Amino acid sequence: MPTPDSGSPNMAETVSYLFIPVLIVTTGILFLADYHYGWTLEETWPILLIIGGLVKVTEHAVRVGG
Amino acid sequence: MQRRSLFAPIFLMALGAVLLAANLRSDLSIGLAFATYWPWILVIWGSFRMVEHVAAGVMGQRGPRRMGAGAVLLTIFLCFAGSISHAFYQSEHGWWRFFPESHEFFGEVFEFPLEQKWEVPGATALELDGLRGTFRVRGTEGDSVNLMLKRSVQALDRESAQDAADEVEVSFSDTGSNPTLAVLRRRRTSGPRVREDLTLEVPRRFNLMIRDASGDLRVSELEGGVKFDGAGDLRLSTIDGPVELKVRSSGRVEASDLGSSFRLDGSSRHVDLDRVVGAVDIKGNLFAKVQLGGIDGPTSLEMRRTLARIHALPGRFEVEGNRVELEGASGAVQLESKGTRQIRLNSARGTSRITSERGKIEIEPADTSEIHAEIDRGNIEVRLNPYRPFRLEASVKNGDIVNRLADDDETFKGSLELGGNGPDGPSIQLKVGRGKVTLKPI
Repeated sequence: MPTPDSGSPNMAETVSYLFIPVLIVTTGILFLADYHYGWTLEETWPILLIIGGLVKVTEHAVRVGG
Repeated sequence: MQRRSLFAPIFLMALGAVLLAANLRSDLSIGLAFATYWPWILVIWGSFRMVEHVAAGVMGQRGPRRMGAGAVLLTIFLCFAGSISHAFYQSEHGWWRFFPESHEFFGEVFEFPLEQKWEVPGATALELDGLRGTFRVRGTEGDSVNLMLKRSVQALDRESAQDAADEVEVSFSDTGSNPTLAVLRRRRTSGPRVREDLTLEVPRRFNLMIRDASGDLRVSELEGGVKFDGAGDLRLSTIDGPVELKVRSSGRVEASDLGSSFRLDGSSRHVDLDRVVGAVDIKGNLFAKVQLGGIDGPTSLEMRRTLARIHALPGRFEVEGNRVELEGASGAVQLESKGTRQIRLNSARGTSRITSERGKIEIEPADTSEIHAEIDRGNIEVRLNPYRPFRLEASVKNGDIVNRLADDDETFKGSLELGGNGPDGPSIQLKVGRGKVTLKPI
């Protein structure tokens, strides 16, 4: 695994970098769905867990595969 | 060395542009815009960072720093602030109500009244442009337009107050198809703020066309109609002609004693409509509370999560938060709701069709009711007089039907039919996907 200054990042590192941005985007979408489409957050919040899990699974798959 | 993300400086520029627009356009409400659209900040922020990381990965370069605890804390703070502002703007009792517009704590208030009168024989309409602040328009007997404009300026001395007040002028033109009255303001970048309080008396026969208005408008006692395009609170009473409102970010729209139709398109936290002879058509977003009553014509209401069409409404209809109540409707009723709702239908005389995704539907039918109620996930509760005739068919795919009309409670699975086949009494059909139907005595 590269250190922060060891040059270009590999694919797994890039995917791991996406974890928080993806969750932030999903949070925004869930709030928008609540405000404008009637899907309340109290119903849809588990999507955050699913998306977070998907990113981690992808990261793991890339590490194992790469 | 890792570079910093470009999002912060770009966000700073966008924020500056938005605040600049708010300063230049007094009808823009930054608070309301934030309360409605703040989740887009998360979507754009997260997407931007994703693109930065992916682009860096594809190009084999080091991307910006990993988002860490700071980003998570900022997200939580933004969600907290956005949710609170959304809740308050949706609420009838917004916190901004407690802070009147008096930002200027120093100086003294100077008042500069302006009175003018124009004769308009033969004219039947008046166009009003650029109204701000508080303005009242009242129909009176006669053939003239009478204007009383009170300009209040809080300033350190009378001279600077006068300068500011002089920047608000009234122009009247009778050369177009209709007489036009406009309030003009020369653009100022600084200086004391002018508060405008305008009272206008117009011939009662007039139709009013109000454009580019914002503030607190009251219109009363007109035989003509009213067309409005702008922002702010509106109170209309005793208007005989049709009323058409296109409203951006209003706190409250109230109308009573309308002799013709009423149409509202836009956003308002509170809508209150009472005694309307003609048709009512309301559509838009951000209605925190809608109250309708005494409507002789057909009513159509399209909100974010609720669609209602009511043939006539001598009773009342209220929507607030997740609560929907309809009482004393006459003729056909169609009520559709999305999300979780608590719907109550009382004494509807006619055919009512109610569909809801989730929540609860409570029904108390009138003798002449024909009710079809359907809910995907939730409960339906029907209150009936067991000693009067009625017909009821209920089906539940996944759940129970509980009959408490008998001496002992009875529980059924699947479907249930009760009551005779005679023509008397209410007829009720209930369908539940997953949940419960309960029959209770009145």
